[in-house]
Amino acid sequence: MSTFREEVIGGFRFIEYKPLEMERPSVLLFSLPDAGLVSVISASHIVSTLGLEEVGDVEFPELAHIAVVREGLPRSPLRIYAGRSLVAVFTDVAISPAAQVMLASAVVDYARLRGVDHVVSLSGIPSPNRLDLEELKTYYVSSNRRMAEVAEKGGAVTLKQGVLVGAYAVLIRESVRKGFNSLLLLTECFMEFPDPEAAARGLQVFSRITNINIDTKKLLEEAELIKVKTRELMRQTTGVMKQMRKDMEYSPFLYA
Amino acid sequence: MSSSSEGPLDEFLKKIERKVREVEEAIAREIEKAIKELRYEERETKIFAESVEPLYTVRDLGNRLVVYVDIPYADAGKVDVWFEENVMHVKAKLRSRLDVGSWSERYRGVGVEEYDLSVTLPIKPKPEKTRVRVKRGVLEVIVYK
Repeated sequence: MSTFREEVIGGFRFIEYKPLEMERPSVLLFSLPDAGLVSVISASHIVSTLGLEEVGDVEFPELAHIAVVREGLPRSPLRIYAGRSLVAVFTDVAISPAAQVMLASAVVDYARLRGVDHVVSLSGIPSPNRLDLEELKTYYVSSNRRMAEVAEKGGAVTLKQGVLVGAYAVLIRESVRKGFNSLLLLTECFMEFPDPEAAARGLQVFSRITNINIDTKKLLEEAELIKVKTRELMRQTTGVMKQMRKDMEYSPFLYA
Repeated sequence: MSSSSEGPLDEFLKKIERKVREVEEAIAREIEKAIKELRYEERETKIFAESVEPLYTVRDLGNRLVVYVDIPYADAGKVDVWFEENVMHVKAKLRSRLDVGSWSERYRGVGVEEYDLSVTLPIKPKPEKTRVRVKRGVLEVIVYK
């Protein structure tokens, strides 16, 4: 694919094969493997269900030795998809905590530079009692009051207290610092097992927020096979989460 | 003072010191070995075969250990859990053979038929104080201490 534009942001080379043309208000969906692989399963479902087009990729030295092959063509494991009002920056490869931190910050800048209106991440919040939870809740953390109202209209509830560890913590903190509209949707999930059910619940909230119809029926029907298929990615992601002390999210903290 | 002037107490203390050193060295060797094994396990990519190791996690909840084993697509009626000393074994048959070759050309001809897992627990479980259930494709084994 020929390159339309290249730009290095925070050490990451964002390569676009064609201009990003999005309907407004536009949303950038940022997804990295995390708790229960909720973000990756959600993003993958959005890309396939809505038929988002691959419009670019992101190069980074840490991932330079990996090529994801699709239909005989090599691609970066960090890819950019777009369609209608959505652009998704997505990877299904476990990357180191240090690279995650840098990438989250670079993605906020990329969204700003491309004039995207909002950044949203669909992730999971590990629940020790997940096995017995019948109705999954989706919590939100927002970079400002306006995004909080948007999340509540979609059926998400405020995460009143807690700790976030990982790329999404950086994403939301950087967004506050840079005055950008970002929203983190966190659905109750297993920490160490892929959780397509949690992904489906998060997608329903995302669908209401963005007014984009996303059918989750197929995702739920194929949930068990998705779990088998993503077993190795989950195992690698668990290793990365251990490095970044993701288990700190289980700790209740005291605030003055 | 020469060693010949050392009394039985000095000899005894030296012997204790030697033993302590030996124990410390043995512990250090074991820790190093465990760390190496852990690093190896993190690096290793588990491949799909007829029998695959499921994802699992062990939680210590004070009076009990809870082992969660992710066994999606398993036949809930064909899940076996048994113990040998402090090792927990799990075998779970899938509802049907999964053709992994349809996911990736590398796995042409490979089909998964069952989960197979052996986990070493820090305690020796007593069968009468053990509870097992399968829910949402997850096997939960509670081992009371």
